[in-house]
Amino acid sequence: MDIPYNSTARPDTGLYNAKVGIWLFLASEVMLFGALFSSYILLRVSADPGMWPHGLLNVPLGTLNTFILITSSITAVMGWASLKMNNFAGFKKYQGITILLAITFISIKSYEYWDKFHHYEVHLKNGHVLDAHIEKQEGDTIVFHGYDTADVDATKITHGWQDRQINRHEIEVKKSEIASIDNFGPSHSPFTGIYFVLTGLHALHIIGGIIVMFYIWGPGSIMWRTDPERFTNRAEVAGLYWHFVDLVWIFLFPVLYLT
Amino acid sequence: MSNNSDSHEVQKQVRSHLRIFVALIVFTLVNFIVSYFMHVDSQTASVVIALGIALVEAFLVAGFMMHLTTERKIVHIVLVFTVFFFTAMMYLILWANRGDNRLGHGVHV
Repeated sequence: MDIPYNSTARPDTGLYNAKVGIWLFLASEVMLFGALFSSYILLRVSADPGMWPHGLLNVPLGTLNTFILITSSITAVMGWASLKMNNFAGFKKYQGITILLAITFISIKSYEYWDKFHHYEVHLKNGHVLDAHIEKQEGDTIVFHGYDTADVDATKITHGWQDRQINRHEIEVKKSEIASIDNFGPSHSPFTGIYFVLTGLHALHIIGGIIVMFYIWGPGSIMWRTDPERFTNRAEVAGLYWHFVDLVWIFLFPVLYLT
Repeated sequence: MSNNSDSHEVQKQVRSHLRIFVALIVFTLVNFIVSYFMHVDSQTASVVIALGIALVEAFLVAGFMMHLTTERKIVHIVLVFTVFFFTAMMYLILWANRGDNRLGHGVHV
């Protein structure tokens, strides 16, 4: 059965069906991410004044990832524009670059996650608190690299993050001196919880985008020979989705990394 | 599939997208420099600056890369509903968290 309005516009909407469909889907996505952003706002305004964590994330890496995603957005547009100009080889090149950039984004994000799972808040029996990474373990001794303070609140206060980043050094601790140790995973604090949920959902969208774009770039590209108009529409719809993923990151980056 | 005027129009769009790409990179860089090197003392000011720049970037992506400024009426209608419900959800959250309604403060009977 032939599905109508796959490549030509419907007279009543003025758009082909997939375009109406993707906009409806993106509208639902706005509500999904909006619900999570509202959870973030709720957690943040409910935190004690000056105690919302800041400086926990790697800002240069976050900035690099923002550049990568913005660049991938423009290469996605260039791919679609190549098809519009009958340049299939150009589409293959730009779509391929978009996929590689998306994979790079996910790789950097994975490294950031890995780092958080190896970043510890250590409470010592003498009342000191460490905000540190484990350098090495030798028998009964653990060598941390990080920040050491006797003031428990100093590891949490918002304005103290520059101090925590500057005053990092090696700290040797005997295992018997440790009262508790907890990494900066999702269960560490409301901040890390919402950070992992928001960026995790965004990362799933990136992975979904990679799968779809790879299909269009690879096995699905056979359609260019049989129905080029419909194939171009597919590339446009995938591009719209990809721009939305970029748009979400444009808000996630300042909200989680910069403020 | 495309005639010469189509092709010319697409080339114009590509040039416009490249300018937007440069603008997005510059805005991101400004956001990074302000946040990372300038250490704005006021938390409120840093939030306003960071989100203000993000809003401009979002407008550029949605308006031009996603072609919203020239998109058909039906898409705008869908998005008007989305904006309405999104705003209502945000308002409810802020309302629920104000004064006596603040979540976590228990229910007054």
